[in-house]
Amino acid sequence: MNTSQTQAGPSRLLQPDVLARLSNLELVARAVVEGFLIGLHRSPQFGFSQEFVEYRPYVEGDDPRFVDWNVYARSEKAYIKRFLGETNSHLMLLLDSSASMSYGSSDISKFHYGQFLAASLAFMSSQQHDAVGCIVFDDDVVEYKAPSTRSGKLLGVLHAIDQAEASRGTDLGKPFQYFSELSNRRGMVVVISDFYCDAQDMIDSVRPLAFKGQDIILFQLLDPGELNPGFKDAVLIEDLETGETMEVSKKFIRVQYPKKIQQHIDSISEAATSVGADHVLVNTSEPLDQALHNYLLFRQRRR
Amino acid sequence: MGLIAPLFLLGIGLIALPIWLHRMNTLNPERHPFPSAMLLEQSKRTLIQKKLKYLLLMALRIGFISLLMLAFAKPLIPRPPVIIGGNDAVLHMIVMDTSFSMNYGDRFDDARAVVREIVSDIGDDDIVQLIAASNNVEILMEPTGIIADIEPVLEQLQPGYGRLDMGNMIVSVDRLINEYELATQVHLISDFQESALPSKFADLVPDSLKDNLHSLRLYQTREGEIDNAYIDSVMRIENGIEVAVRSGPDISGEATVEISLNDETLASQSIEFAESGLTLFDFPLDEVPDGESRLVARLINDDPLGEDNVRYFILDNSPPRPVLLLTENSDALSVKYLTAAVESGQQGYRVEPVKLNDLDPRIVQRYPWIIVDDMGIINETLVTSIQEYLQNGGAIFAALGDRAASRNSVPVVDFEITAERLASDISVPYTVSAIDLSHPALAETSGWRDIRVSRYLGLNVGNEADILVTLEDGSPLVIEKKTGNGRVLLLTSSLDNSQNDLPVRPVFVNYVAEAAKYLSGEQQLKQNQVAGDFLQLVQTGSAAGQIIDPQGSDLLSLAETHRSQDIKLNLTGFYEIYTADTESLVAVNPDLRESEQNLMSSEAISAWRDAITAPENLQSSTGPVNIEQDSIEIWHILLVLMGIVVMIESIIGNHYLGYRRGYT
Repeated sequence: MNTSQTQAGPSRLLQPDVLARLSNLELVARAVVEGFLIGLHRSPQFGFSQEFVEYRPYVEGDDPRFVDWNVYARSEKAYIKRFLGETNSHLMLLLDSSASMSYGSSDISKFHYGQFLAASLAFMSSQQHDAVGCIVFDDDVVEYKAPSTRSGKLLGVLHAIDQAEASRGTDLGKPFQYFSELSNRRGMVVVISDFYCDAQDMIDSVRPLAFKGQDIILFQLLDPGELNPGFKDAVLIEDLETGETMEVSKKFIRVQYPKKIQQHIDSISEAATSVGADHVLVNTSEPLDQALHNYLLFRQRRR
Repeated sequence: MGLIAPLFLLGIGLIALPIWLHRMNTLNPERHPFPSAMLLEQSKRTLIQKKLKYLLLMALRIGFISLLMLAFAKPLIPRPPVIIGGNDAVLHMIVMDTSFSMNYGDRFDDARAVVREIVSDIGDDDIVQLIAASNNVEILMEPTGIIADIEPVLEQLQPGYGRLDMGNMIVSVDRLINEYELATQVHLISDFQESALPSKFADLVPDSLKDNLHSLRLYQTREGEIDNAYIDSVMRIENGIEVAVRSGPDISGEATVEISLNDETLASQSIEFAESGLTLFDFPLDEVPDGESRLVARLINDDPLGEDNVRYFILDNSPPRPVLLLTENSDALSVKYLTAAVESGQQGYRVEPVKLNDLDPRIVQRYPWIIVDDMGIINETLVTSIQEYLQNGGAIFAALGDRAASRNSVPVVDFEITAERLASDISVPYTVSAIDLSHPALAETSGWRDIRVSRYLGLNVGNEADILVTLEDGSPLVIEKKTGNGRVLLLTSSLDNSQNDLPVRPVFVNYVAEAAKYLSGEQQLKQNQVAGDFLQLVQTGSAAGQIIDPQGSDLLSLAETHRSQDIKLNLTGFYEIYTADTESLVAVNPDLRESEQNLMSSEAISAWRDAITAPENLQSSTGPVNIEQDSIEIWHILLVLMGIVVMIESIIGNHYLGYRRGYT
């Protein structure tokens, strides 16, 4: 059985290199989510359906489409219908668009992968009637879309993600602080980045959000070329963010670098754990399944 | 293919390729983008090590291309020609006298006939070399076994205007004999003038003849002594020109001399030849054009050596160049002594005494050098102008008189005056103890130790000045200080004969003349020279110029004079020299000794022959003779070198390019 056979069907659309050929991000998100869901067995554990659960009073900001007009006609009170798996929470996506994200040893860069992931999560959450917003950042906040459940807002979020370009440096502090100032509701925060920063600095940025009760999941995207550089000799390295060059010896690349990158991953993971955040390492050569699966697990736990 | 072959030069241009490629690599090094250098560490290899390796790699590649091109060019390391033949092979070295005296009558045709006779008599396997001897020895043909090659060279050969010195010629021939390492028979064909003989008879015998392997044969041309009349000299006398004609004892009758100035006939005179052999013709000259004029004196006579009946002469009527003499009193004795000394020199200077009060400081810049009879007269206003003059390359000839004695320091040169020294016993004045004769201003002077100095100014000259003449008490008498591009020659005593007797000693005129030459930076061009001499272009005061020979040919272009500074004067007549600043003429005549027709006596020639008796075993060989230009081919050495270079380049290149390679 060859690879193409194993990837036949909708799940094939979860392969990053296939997704890279699709130009429309909404189409990508739809294909990913639908492909992913088709691959799932229906399970109450992952309750993601339109089965009615309860009513709750309408509050300002709720999508009027979900007002049960029959109840309103009877009682003249507006109630919102709630469905199984729908928690009506906020999802805020923080996408790193720093220059380091533009790296990719294959057809797809980390940034593209991050765009797909962010768009897929946004689409999936939108299906569950979560309010979805996003912040695109590098060393500053590049784009901000406030969370909303309106269907038109999803397109706005997808457009913001789609239009972003990877450039400049990374500063996690600013987007977190920005979001912290604007956010007054609990919800989920998904950070998609390669986390080329000091673990302690990252924790210092995340901690205020955690204290506010936000549920945080960190997707650390790393390219296979970063995890295991293919250099077989000394090489002249150019830092994508600073432009600085550095000659790196063969010995360092082979022996010390793998240890260093693993230590860095571990430090990010430990730092995330220390503030109650989830850390998911994503290899950009792998399909999006694992990332989405982790998200759903994370969401399920939150419920 | 030689080293100047176009293909080689084109090929060697390929060196630009590695240079260009390496430059491109330097400008555009291959960089591998990486998300972040945060987790990376700089290699410990230093930048200098990398650059050295880089340059070594480039040098190896350039070396490879150069060696490749050299190998294609097949360069040879030349050696003196080696003659390979039978052990009895003989080299016939025919030396022909081509000096001026060989122009007489049929002498040179006789010489050609002798050469043909020699060539016809040599063995079939012997080899011949043809050499011309005049001012120097010139190899006309390398040794050859092809006799037919000699005739065209012989036909074209003509005697010149030079002089043959037998002693020098024998030394040169001796050197050639030793070089060829072959039994050599030298055939010397000449008219054997007495004037060509060296002072010692022994100098006529080559040292190489002592080993009995070589021999020298003498052939005297048939034409014997003649009664030659020729112009011996042309001189400028007061109000005219004197032409001296020398004639043999048997010449009588009327001699006619005609002179022309700048191609215009001026006068003609006819006088009976004097019995003494020296007839003088005086031509009055009313008006002589300014500058240099070409004067040609012709003896109208039908003697067989006509070329020496013409004498070329430069009549120099250039106005003397002015020299500023700065003084406080133009009637002072120092002015008189200086004026007399400067104007009596051959450099042609005219002293212009100017009183300090009448001086416009701006005119100082016009003079190549100036004289100050007492540096003490220079006031503060003038110091600035004179220092600027020195900075721009001016020069000062100066002395320290009474006015300087009243000051604390010498203006312009800033020497501190420590004391006025007076000889304790005026009847026993100071004398000179040391003279720097290596200095150009003093090299040609003598008589310094005769002068007496009774008073001078003691100076603290520091380390910035050179002491050229020192008195017996160790004090300086003549000092040179260089300031900017200029220089000052300073006498620490006066020039009015009151403090010393230098101005009335013969050395003074010499010193002033040499100092003038030194300070002005001019070297005198010898205007009248003999054929075969070398003209030194630097004597014209310029490093580059254009030289046109008497036939109007451009002997050396401006560009060529940058490479060659000595030009041999082969022709008689007027050479024109054009430099940036000057136009000069040089008159060239045959050496007068060539016109003297006294030949060696038959006894002297016999004695010479006895001294150079040929060994009996010097016979023409019957074995084959080959002449090989023995040069070493080095292309195979180059190939080995190329192999080594390629190997080293591969090792270093592989290592060097390692870190550039990245993904493999």
